[in-house]
Amino acid sequence: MPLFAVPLAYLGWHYTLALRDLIGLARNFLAFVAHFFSLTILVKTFFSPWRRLDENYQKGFNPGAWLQTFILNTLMRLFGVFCRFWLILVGGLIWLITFGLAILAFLVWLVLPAAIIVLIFTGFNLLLR
Amino acid sequence: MTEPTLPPNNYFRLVRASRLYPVLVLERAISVTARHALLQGGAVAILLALGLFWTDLASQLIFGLLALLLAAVLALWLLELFFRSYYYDNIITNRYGAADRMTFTVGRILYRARRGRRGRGVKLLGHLVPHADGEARSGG
Repeated sequence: MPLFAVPLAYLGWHYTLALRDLIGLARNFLAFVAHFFSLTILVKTFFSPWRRLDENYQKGFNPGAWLQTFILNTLMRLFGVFCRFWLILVGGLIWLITFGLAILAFLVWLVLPAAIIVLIFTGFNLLLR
Repeated sequence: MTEPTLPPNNYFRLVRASRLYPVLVLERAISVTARHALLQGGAVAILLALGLFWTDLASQLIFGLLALLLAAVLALWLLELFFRSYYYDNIITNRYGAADRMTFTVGRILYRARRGRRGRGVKLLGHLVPHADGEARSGG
């Protein structure tokens, strides 16, 4: 019977190619979130001054000017750390939520064929009770 | 009278050996138009049945029918995904390997061709593969 070929081929596809595609999709989503929040760049430049708003130290002996530049640069670095910390926190949280949803989708996909059988049995059970 | 032996490149065997065979069978059993119509109708029916949950009409019968309906819609949806996986990976992109003897369109015509008849499918494969219409010649 040719119709028997469909469920068998389907199950083969469901647990091989489809799973591989699902993992690929999840990877794409995770890469998108990481890229959207620039997580790698933010971690690498965590202590850099915010938006490169720093000053160059003047040449020569001028303690006043040096201190002024030092304070400004430190403030910009602290502000950068503050902003990046929250951005990394929000981005990381969304990345974790996406990761959790991907795991959930993966688990749901694994039990979907069984869910159909369970639903059929439950349906007939309720109808014939 | 013994059944004539089918040549190895008999068109029906070629169709059956194709990796697109399950998709061809699915398309023949429930066409893409029918699948889409059934999925849309099923979704509406599920919404209606869910609406009955909060009425006095809610009963075991409704729950049972809803469960069966959900199973049918879920199965159809998964079969649609199965078809789309082939469709968007190979068929629409025309990405066929060296081992593939036919495209989806050719396979569909051949699969629809009745065995032992010199229909469109047999004639078509006759142009593509020498002696492919062996089954028709042998009268099987």
